[in-house]
Amino acid sequence: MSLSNVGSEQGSPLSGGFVDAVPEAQRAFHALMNALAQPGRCQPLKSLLAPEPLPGLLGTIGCTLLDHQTSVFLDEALQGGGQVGEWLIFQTGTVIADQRKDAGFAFIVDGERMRLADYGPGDQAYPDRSATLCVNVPSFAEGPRLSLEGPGIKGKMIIAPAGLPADFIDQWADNHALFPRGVDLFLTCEGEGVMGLPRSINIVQEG
Amino acid sequence: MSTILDLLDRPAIDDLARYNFAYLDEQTKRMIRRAILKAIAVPGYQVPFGSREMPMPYGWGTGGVQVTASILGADDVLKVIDQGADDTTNAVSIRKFFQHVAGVKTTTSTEEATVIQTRHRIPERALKAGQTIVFQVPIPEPLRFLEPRETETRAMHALEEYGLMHVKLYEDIARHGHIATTYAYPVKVAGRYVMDPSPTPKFDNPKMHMNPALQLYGAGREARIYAIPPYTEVVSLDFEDHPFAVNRFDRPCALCGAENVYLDEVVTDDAGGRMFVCSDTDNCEDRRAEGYVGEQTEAAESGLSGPREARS
Repeated sequence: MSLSNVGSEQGSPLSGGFVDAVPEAQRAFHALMNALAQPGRCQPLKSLLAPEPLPGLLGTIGCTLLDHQTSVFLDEALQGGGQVGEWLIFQTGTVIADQRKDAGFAFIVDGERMRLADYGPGDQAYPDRSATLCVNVPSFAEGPRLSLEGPGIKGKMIIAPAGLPADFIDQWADNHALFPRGVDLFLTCEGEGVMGLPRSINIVQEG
Repeated sequence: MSTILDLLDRPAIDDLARYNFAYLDEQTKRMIRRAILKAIAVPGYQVPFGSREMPMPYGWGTGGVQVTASILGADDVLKVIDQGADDTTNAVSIRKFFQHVAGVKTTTSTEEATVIQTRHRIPERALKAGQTIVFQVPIPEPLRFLEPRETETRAMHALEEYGLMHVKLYEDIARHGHIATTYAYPVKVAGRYVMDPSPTPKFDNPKMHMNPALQLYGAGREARIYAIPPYTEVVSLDFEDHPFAVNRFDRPCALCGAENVYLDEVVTDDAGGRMFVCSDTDNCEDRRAEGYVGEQTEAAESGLSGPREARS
């Protein structure tokens, strides 16, 4: 019996995930690396079969970056029901964090209610010990227009993701002011891909 | 009598004993990939990582090799240079290593490459968006020779306390009348971190500024990874009255006639004969193919004094 047949019914922790882990993880990482190196520019990312309500693109990020050395916080919408936690644990070996501030990663589907300041910004001497927030949003084009400036961007970059908090600009200004501390964001959108917002960039309302 | 090599050639054994793609195991790659992401998010900051033993000695580019192995995909085209040259020992052995463990296509052309691993130069031909250049770094800490304690240099970076580095450059001026640092010339990245660009000749420092390519730095023995994203401000430290300047050469390349490129001095005989040729062999070969000539092109091609012959 081949492993891919085990628990193939939808919703089992054993189903989904990478089929050919080595090249798929490399391609996904390549997208994430470019997303962070070119903030605001959407990178193609293949969506994985993952249990509801975990968006497939967050599943891809999970299988690419998580393992037993990481911890991930799931927002309320992902905690309630379903087998998201079990799936991530089985697929990656990661630890599910109880507290936002302790987590190295956070998977968020209710982006409107997230607060960047709840997550660990790292240490002034070790700013790499900060959280990476992976937020699935409904659209990359229908939200308020934001203007990005900073490392990785030639001139200016305009984005319009929907599903972020109403005061996202202010929250981001506080996050950016902490530099070199601060959290980094990956925004995913089904059918689009992934976009990176590293703490190093400045975001203002456009127009 | 069968030898070990015969056994290795047998397909059954080959199926059993194989390296993972690009040598490193997936867990190691994930750890390095997470470090690379944080390095990009905090330009110029040295991210500690769990550096692995590689099948080559420290000093041979184990840091760069680990970074390259973690980013490399089957469709990448790899170029490896040692200083500017594609055909010196370090470059050849690392290129062979990746041909063997990853089976990727390799090239000597800067234009064609998607990933360029370097010790330590940046190619003369301008890099493009989408390319990644991976630097092999021996000592990543720019303050290390001024302050040997890691705890102290970490605090200095945290507090953005870089006065000591300016004192060092000032002492250069006091002693020599000018800033005598010619390689590993410290830079400030995105207005925050002072960074060691590895022992890159300072000639290449201006190429780091607003480069469209992603620059990744890996130090294997010191277990640090750092990065400069594309289009990032990189300023070489200097003083108003002693501004940063790159070294100029008083003659063009003896083989291709290129000016404003970095030249290597090559001793051609035991009677004081020497020539100055492009350090970037790919750039030099391209120019010669386009018909550019230098003052010793003819002699070199007729084999009378041939650094090219020695290299190929």
